[in-house]
Amino acid sequence: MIEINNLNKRFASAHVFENYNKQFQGKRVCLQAANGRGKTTLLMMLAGLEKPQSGQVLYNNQALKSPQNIVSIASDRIALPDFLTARQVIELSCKALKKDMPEQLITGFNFKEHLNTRFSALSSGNQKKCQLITAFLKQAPFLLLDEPSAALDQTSIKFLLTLLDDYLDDKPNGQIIITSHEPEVFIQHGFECTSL
Amino acid sequence: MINSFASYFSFLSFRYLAYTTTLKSMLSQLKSFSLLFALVLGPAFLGMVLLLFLGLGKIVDSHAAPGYGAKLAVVYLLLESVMLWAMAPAIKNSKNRVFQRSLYKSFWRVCADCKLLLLSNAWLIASLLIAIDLSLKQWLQVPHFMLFMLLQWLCGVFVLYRPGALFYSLLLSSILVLLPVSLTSLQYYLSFIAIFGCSILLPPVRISHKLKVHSLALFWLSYFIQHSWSLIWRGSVLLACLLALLQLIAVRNDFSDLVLALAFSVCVLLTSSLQFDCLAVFKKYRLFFQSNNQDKPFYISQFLPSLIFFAMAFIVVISMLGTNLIYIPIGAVWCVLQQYLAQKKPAQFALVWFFITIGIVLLA
Repeated sequence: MIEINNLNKRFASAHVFENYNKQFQGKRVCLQAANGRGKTTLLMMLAGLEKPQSGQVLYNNQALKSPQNIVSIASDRIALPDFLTARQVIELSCKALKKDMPEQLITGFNFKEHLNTRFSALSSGNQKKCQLITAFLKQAPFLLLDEPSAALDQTSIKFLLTLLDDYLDDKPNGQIIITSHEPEVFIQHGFECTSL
Repeated sequence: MINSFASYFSFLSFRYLAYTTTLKSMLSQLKSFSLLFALVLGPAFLGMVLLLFLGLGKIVDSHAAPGYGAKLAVVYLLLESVMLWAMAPAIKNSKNRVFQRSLYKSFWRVCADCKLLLLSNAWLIASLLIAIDLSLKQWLQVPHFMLFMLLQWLCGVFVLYRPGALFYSLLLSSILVLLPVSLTSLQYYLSFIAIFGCSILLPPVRISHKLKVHSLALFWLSYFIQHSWSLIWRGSVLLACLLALLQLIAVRNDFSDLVLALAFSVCVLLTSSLQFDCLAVFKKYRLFFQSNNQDKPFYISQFLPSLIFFAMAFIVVISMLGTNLIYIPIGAVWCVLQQYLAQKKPAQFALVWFFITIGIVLLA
């Protein structure tokens, strides 16, 4: 479970979070808020990729120095190397994480025919698939997905939902947190909605 | 008809505005070099213009040594391509290219491209000034100069529309001038035209897509294969400097120590400034590598390209000018220092280079 205590984050003079406290209780959580309220920023801080000015994040009651070791994230804010092909991006992640090429994920997302396309030339839906593949590849206990269904076709959304259904089976202390402006489909698959 | 003219002129004014705006924004990015320009290039500006015309004079009058004139022409075309490559986004208004396609006739777009290309091509304008000054009799004596101007124009067109063909053209032309063959000036330039023409037909090479990117070294290799111009322009400027310095040594051998020190400092400047490019790549993809638990290796790896480039450039300097052994350790330390400045204190990058150069020149 992730718990946030007295979090403060500001960009220049704009306070995005001021003494923010939150406990994500459920195993599957869908975070909701209007645009620009800081959902993505919060996910980035939970993943350890952005630093708050102050505050503490606890993962299963533990404060971690490098949370990225146990957190996997897919977000548009993380720029993937757009001069590489999708295959090269995935290969690079596989090598870094010491994993095999995720053939099952690639087939499930119908991504095989786009593997040799340069990332910058992929459609937004296919870029999203590439982000999701690299996030699922890590198999970290905590999975954070920023607008995972945005731009995805229906078949890929169905595949994503089956992945989310099974994700925590072998991770008893794990948790999935997503953000979505269309949460209905996730609610049907056991996600609890919570406001920011 | 009048409406059509009015639309065309409003399109031209839009393109000119976009051109000047992009150029201003590009110049503002060079602020870390502004002090260097003010200190070094400012006083030397007139000298550089004279050097440009002097070189063109050698190309025009190359009957006695056609091989040398052809080599000089290739260096000119290379430097011109590098300059135009940097200006291409402003000339084409690349940012709004799709917008232009959606609104205007393609003929207008090409016309505007050509006008801005001519306006940006100082090298071609300099050649045109010389051409205007020639009499008809002189023209008949130097027909190759007409071909050289055509090549200058083609370079610009290739930069805008066929960058792959430009790469082949310059590569094959360089090979031709290095071959031990005896050709007249006209034969050289006709061969260049043929090479430029055939280069359009050659398929583009896409090596980087076939690479298996399994490591950070291959990540950087792939990046520089696809962004090779940042290496090519540095290499071209270094080569041009070395050729000019070689000429100086040929005339004044007593200056050889001073020339070597200068060549060495130019080598450090050009190679260590690659760190600015690497830093931009690091900042852009940092989060991706951090999310893959590779933040530290990625941070360290960003310093390798400019160090490797320095080592390679230094070997070229040694092979062309010879070296004083003391420059090897000094060069390595100086390059690392410049990298550090590029990373942490970019405003001081040029200033420190300038003062160290003064120091080395005085010691030489």
